[in-house]
Amino acid sequence: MKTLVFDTGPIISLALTNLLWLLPELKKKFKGRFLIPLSVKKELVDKPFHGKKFKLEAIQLMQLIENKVLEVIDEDKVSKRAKELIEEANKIFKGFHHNINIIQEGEMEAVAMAELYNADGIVIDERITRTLIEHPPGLQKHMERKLHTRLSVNKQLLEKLSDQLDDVYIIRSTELAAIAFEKGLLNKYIIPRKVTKRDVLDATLWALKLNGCSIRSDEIRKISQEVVK
Amino acid sequence: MLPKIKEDIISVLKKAIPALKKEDFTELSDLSNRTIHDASIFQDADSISCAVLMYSLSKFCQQCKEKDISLPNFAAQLEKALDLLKKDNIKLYENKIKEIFKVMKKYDEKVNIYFEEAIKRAKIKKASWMHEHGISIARTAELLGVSQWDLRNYVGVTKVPDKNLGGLTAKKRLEVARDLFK
Repeated sequence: MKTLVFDTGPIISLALTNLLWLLPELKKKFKGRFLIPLSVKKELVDKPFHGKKFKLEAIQLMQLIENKVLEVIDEDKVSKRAKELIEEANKIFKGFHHNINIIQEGEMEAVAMAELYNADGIVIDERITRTLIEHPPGLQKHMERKLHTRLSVNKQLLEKLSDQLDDVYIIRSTELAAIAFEKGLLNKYIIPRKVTKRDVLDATLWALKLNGCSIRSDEIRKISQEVVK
Repeated sequence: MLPKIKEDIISVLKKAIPALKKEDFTELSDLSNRTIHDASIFQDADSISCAVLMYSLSKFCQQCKEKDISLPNFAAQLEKALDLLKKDNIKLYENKIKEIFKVMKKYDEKVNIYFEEAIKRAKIKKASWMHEHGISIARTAELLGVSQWDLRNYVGVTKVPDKNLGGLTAKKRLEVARDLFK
């Protein structure tokens, strides 16, 4: 069965833009499973449920889990594999002879799950994890510019990580929204002569960006041009 | 405390003290970014605490000035902290920093900035800076003790996501998504 793994970020972006309702609809179109690791569930539900500000969002997410739209996977092999990957990832870049811990265990759990379950894709909104997997030199260059210091790179570990995660295909919440649009799921927002298809798509993509999805303005333009023809 | 971190915090405190004395609170806010490089690389509590303190002090002092409330003598407190740090009394230095935060909290009623919220905002802002320097959102949230919900909500409205770091193009990523859902 097809599988899509979710990191924390895309679900937060969808929750903050009132678009969680898209997930069950997209799942029907996907005809597969939407998985989240336990650490992601803790971040999405357990932590905000005990506060005030995002408790309602946490409750909405609990419903999605109860209704099996999102499946929580709690397996030792996932956390074990995540620990191995994170050990490697956080030793790739060094500044002042010190390993720089660039990502956190929870983020790696989603990646580990995607690898172990041979997932068809993984949804990650956060750019550091994405760039580490897809284009590490870009991340190195960026960090050196920002930190005003040359970083040393463990090329062996970098190659190892790249090889291990070669088959991991990453999309964002914005691509999910684009697919939702193409499947007609956002048509209910169109108002003839007042709110066009382009308005709906642009508004959705911008809302996701402004609520945490790491997508550039020019990328939004390109998606919009590509999808609304 | 690593020598580089100590050296950088000393440098920040040496500039913060005259800035406080001449009430240049913008300078304090700028100083809060000086230890972010160290915080991003070493991810130590002291660099992070120094960054949050400088930023919080800048906002707190600004509020006191606007409301015509006399400022506590933070310059003297920072001088003591600097002295302790120079003498390698790290534990006492850290306690002195905590004391300064407590003073701000005690003043909360007069200044009315809702101290806890102000500190939370300072942490979110500094976490966002660390993320801009190449540390993931989840990692910076963990280090600064803030929720990913708050941090993502904040980062989304900054220019941070607009930098091109490489990776798949928008068109290619859309193709991947279409493939997944065909």
